[in-house]
Amino acid sequence: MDAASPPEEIRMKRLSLFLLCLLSLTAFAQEPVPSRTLRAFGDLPVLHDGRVMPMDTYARLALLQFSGRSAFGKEPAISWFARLLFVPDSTRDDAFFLVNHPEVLDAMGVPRFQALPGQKKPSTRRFTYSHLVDGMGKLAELYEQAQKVEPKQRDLVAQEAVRLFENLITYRQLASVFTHERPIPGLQIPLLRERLGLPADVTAFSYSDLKDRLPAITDLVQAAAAQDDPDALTPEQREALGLASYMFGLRTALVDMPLPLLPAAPHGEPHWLAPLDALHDEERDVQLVNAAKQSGLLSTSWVAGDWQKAREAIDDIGEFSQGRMKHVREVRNARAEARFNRANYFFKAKMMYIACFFLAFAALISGNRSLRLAAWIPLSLALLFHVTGLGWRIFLTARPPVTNLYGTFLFVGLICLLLALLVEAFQKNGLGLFTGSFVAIIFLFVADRFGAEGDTMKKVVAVLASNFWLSTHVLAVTTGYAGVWIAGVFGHIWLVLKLLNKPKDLLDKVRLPMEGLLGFGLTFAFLGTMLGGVWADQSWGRFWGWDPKENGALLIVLWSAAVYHARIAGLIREIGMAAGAVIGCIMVMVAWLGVNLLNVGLHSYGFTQSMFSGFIGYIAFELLFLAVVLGLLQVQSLRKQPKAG
Amino acid sequence: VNLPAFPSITPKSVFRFFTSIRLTVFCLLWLAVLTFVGTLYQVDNGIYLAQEKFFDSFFLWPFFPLPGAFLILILLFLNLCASFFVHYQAGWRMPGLMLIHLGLILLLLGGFVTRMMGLEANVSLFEGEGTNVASSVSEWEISSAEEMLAQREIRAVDFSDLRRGTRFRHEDKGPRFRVLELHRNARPLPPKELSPELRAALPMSPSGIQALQPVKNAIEPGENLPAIRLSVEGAKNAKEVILWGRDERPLALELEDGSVRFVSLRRKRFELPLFIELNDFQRTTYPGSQIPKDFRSLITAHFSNDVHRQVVIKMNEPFRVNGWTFYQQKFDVGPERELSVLQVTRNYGRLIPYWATGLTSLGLAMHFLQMQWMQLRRRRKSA
Repeated sequence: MDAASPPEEIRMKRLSLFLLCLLSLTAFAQEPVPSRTLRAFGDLPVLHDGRVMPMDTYARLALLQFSGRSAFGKEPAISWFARLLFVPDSTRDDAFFLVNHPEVLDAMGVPRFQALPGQKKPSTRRFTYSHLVDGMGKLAELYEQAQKVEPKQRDLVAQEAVRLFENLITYRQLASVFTHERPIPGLQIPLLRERLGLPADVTAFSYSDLKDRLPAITDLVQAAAAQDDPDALTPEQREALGLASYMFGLRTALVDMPLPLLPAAPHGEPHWLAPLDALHDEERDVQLVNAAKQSGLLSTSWVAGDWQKAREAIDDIGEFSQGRMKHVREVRNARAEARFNRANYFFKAKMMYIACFFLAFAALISGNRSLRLAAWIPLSLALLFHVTGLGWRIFLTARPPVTNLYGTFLFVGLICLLLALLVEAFQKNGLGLFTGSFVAIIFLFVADRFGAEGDTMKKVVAVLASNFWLSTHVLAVTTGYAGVWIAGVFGHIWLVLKLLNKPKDLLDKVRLPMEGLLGFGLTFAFLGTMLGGVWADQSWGRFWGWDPKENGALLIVLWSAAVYHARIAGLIREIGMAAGAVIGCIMVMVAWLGVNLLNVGLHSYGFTQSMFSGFIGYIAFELLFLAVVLGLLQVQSLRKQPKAG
Repeated sequence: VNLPAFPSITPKSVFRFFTSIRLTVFCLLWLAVLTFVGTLYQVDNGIYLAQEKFFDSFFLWPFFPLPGAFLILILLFLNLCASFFVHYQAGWRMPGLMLIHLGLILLLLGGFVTRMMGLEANVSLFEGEGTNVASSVSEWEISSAEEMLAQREIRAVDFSDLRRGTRFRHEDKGPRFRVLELHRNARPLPPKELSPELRAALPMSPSGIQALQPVKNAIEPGENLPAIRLSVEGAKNAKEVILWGRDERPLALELEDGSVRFVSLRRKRFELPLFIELNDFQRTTYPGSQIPKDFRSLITAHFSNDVHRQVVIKMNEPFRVNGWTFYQQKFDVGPERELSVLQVTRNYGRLIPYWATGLTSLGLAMHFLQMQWMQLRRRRKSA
C-alpha cells in the first residue's frame, strides 16, 4: 500500500466498507431464492466423513451440529446454509449455536441470556455468533485446557467448551469457503490496475479476480525484492508487495477448507477439494479449475441475486462431478438422497400414526366399528410412508436398514406394528391398531432423537461391513427385540385391565397374543443371538466372548425362557406372566441401549451420553408401574378374600 | 423331642432334583443375574476379568459362596439331559420342544468342548517377516533348552499348572524346581543397596530382580506380567531363581555334568502346521475420513519347502487350514513398516454350535407355529 497518499487510502477504505455494507444490505433485501435453484443447489454432491452426500444432507448435518435441529426455524437447512456460504454476514445474528451448559457462557464472560428480535423471552439455549464472538478468546483457553485431558476424563463443562469451540471454528471456516470470491476490503491498487489489465470501471476486486494475474504481480514483487534500499521502491512496487502479502496470507489461511465439493482425481481413489483448493490445483487439471471457477461464479451470482447465472453454475458443477465420478454409486444417488430428505417420510408416517392412535383409542373405548375402520386409513398411509422411507434408506446405503441405532428404531417400530396388526387381523377389535400405532409413534420419536446425533447413513466400520451378517444376525435379533417389546406392551395393557376388573374373556384377548408374541420374540432373539455367535466365529474366531451386546441379547433369551418355564412349573400365574412380559421390555432396552451406554465392547456403536438419563428414566418408570400395579392388585385380592372369623 | 427328619439323599431324590423344572427356572434366572452383573463389572474391569470372575468360575465369593456361570451351565446341562429323557418321552406330539432341548444340550456340549480343547493365540508379524509359531495372549510357560536361542528341542511347563510348593523338572537329567512364590501379575521391587555377601545370597535372575511385588491383574490379559521364584536342585550356579515375564534373556543354569540349560518364563507357544510370511499389510479408510474401510494381510503360506501359495486374510474373511484358523485381528503402524496381528485358533468343536443353533431355532419355530395353530383350533372350536 502507498503510504504517501493517506487521504485517498481512507477514502477508498470508506468506499469499500460502504460497498460491503451495500452488498450485505442487498443480500438481506434480496428476493427469496427460487425453490428450483435452491433444490438444484441441494442436489450437488459433496464429500463428508467418508461418504458422498448431497449438499442438502451436508447442510442439515452442519445445522444439526450447531443447533441440534435440522432446520433454522421455518427456513430449510439448505437455504440457511446457502446464506452461510455466500452471504455469511446474514447469519451472524441467527440464534443457532446450542449451548447445553450455561457455565461455559460464564467462563467465556458472555451473558447467559440473549434478547432476540421478535421473541418475547430471551434465549437461554441458542445464541448468535455476535453474542458469542466476544468470548472466543476465553473459550480458546478453555479448549486448550480441555485438550490436556483425555476425552473420557473431561467434565461436562469441558466437553461442552470443546464442542462449542469446534462449532464456532467450523462456522467461521464455512463462512470463509468463498472468501476468495468476495471483494477484498480496503484494497487500493490504482497504479497497478492498468498494469494488471483490470477494468477501469470496477473498484472492488476479489482474490479470484487477481489470481490469474499472479505472474504479473510476481514479476513486480521480484523486481521489488531485487532493490536493496526499501526507500527506493516505486509506488507501484509498494502496491504489488502489499497485494502479494495479502494474497499469500489469504491463501495460507484458507488451506484445507471444509466443503470438498469438487472431485480432483478422475481415476483411482476419490479425492475431493474445496473450491479454493481446486482453484490452485497443482496438477493443472483444466476441468477441475474450470469447475472451481464455476463455483466462484455461483457465489457471486448468488450474492447478486442473478438466479439464472447461479443455476447455470450449479448445473455445470453438477455435470462435472457426476461426469467425473459416475462410477461412484453415492454420487449417482446424491439427487435421490436429497429428494429423500425433502420427502420427510418418517415425519409424515409419525403424523399418520398419531391420527390412527387416537381413532383406534376411540374405537376401543366406544366399540364403534366405523371408527376402527376409519383408523385403517391413516394407518395405511403411515405404513406406506414408513416402508417407503425404509426402502429408500436400503437403496441409498445399499445395506440392511439396521446399521446404527437410528435405523434399528425405525425397523423395530415397523416390525412391532406388523406384529400388532397380526393380532388385529385375528381379533378385529382395534387392540392391534391401538398398540401398534402407539409403539410405532414411540419408536419414531426415539429414532428422531438418535437422528439428531448426526449422519444417519454413516459408513459402517470394517468389522461391521458385511451385508450378509447385518441382514441375518442384526435383522433377526432386532425382530426378537420387536417381539418381546410388543409382548411387553400387551403385558402393560393386561395388568391395567386386570386392575380395572375387566371380564376374563377381555383379559384373554390381551393375554393370548402377549404369550404368543413373547414366544415369537424368544425365537428370534435366540436365533439372532446365535447368528451373532456364528458371525463372531467367522470374524475373530470365537463363538461366544461375553461381549456386552451378546450378553444383552442373552438376557432377553434367558428372561423369556425363565418366564415360560416358571409358568409351566406353576411358579407364576397370569399376573406373573404379564409382569414378566413387562420386565421383558426392560430387558430389551438394556440389550438395545443399556449396553451401548456402557461404552465397552465391539458393538458399542451408539453411545450417547444424553440418552443415559432417558434410559434410566424409562427403567424407573417401568419399575414404578410394576410396583404400583402389582401392589394394587395385591390389595384387591386381599379385599376379595373372606375375612377370617 | 421330635426333630424334623433330614431329607435323605437317595438316587431317586437326586434324579428328581435334576429333572425338576424349578431347577431350570433357577438356573435361567441366576444365569441372567450373572450375565447382568458380569456385564456391569466389565465397565471398570474389562471383559477378560469379568469372564474369569463370573462366567468361567464355579463359585463367586462376594461374602459367601455363590454359584458361578460355569457351575450353572453344568447344572443346566444335567437338567436338560435328565428332563429330556424323563419329560419328553411322551413329547413326540411336540417335536419342536424335543428339538429345542436337544439343540441346547448340543450347544452346551459345544461350549464345553471349546473350553476344554480350544486354543487361542496370535501371530504378530512386521512386513517381510515370517513364522511357524503362535504365542498365547494370556497363557505362560517355563521353557528349558540346551541352546540359548533354540527354536526346536524346547521343553516347557505350563505356568497355569503351577502352585506354591509344586515340584517339577523339564527332563530326567535336568534341574529340579520347587515353586516358592508365583504371581500372575507382578513387578520387581526397587533394588536395595546390599553388601556383596548379601547380594550373593539373592536369587539369581536374568533381570537382576531381588524381590517381587504382586500387582492387581490388568484389564487386558496380555498386559499381565507373571513372575515366579523357584528353588533349584541340580544346578551348580544357583539355589534359587526369579523369572519374570519381561526378562530380556533366559537364565543359564550350569548342571553337574557341565552342560547348560537356558530357562525362561515366556508366553506359551504353539507350533503351526505351516510357515506364514507377511508380504504386505494394507489398510484403507473411507475417503476424507478416518473410518476404517478395510484392512488385510497379504501372506504367503508355506506348507512345505516347495508347496506354497498366496493368501489374503481380511476382516470377516479368515484363512482356514488343517483345523487352524487365522483371522485379521489388529495392526500397528511403525515408522518404516506396518505390523499385522493375526488371531490364530484351533477348535475341534467349532461346528457344534452351528448345528445346535440350527436345531434349536428350528425347534423354536416349529413349537411356536404349533402352539399358534393349536390355539387357533381351540378358538374355532369354542366359537
